[in-house]
Amino acid sequence: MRAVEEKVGDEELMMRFKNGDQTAFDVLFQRYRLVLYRYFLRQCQQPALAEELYQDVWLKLINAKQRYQPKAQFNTYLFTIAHRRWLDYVRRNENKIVFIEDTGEKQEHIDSRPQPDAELDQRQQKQRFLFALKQLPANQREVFILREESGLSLETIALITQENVETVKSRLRYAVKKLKQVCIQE
Amino acid sequence: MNDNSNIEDAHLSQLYHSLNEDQPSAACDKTILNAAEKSCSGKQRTYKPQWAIAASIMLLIPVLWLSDLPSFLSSQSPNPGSTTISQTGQLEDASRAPAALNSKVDHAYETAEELLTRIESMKNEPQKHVQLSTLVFDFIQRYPNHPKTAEIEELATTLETADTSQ
Repeated sequence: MRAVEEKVGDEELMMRFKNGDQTAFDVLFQRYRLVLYRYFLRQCQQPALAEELYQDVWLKLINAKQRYQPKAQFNTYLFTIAHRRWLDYVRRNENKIVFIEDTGEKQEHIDSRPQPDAELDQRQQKQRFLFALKQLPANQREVFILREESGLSLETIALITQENVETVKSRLRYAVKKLKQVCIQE
Repeated sequence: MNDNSNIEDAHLSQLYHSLNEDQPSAACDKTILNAAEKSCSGKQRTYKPQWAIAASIMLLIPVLWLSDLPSFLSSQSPNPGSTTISQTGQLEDASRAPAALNSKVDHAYETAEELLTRIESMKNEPQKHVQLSTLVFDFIQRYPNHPKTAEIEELATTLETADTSQ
């Protein structure tokens, strides 16, 4: 979408959108669309729920655009909204969060099909990874996802999750260690 | 050991990104983009006359203050019949006004020569007949002893004759 706008910073685009420029929003939306959706999907593993939360965040951003001040990076602003929305959902639905693949149904289904060895191995690795991701404590999983999905720095993740940097660093270290145990050293 | 750890980290990252490329539905994206469009069209500035009026008043206040118009307005009598002695100064100003006006008119042709030049230039312009008559009579009144006065009086007679014949 228009080479010039591709080079414009997120904060400037958001300010333009605040002043009524819809094309600026379109560029921002394309930049963060998948990242934001996957942030929710990887945490809840339910596409319908992820979509609902994803939509809520964008609508909140749109409705609150007049209050936007470029005090921090735009991605910090966006993921802070997303983090709060996720926490809000978790608090209200503590008993309802169920990981679909916890039943092991999908794993059995995949394993039963005849496939070439390499492809099968790859698929199994992915399944193990997803399983390991689900097994992580929620706060460790979120830090890992934010780091991997959006490439945010530990300092930015600390701002988003309102924790200190050392805590974030520690959570990430534990998350990586557990994932490696399941996926690589098996 | 450290190298192994980095390779493992990279492998982990690769595994994460190799997860299926899930995407939000087109309908969901459309809802978001429509909301953005709506918010932008709602942003379009509409002309609000009350703001224009308020802004005009705010701009006018210092201008009035500087021009001393309030004192002028307050000195105006709302009822001409109720003029009092205290308004003498105001009456004097009013009586001076025509003189000031006359001086402005005089300045238009201060000398007899200027007046004559204007008369000469209008002689051949029938559409300026009325203005010419005014200037002619003004000249006769103001410069009765001027060498050209007799000539201008003749012109005045001609003009009068013309008026009568019309």
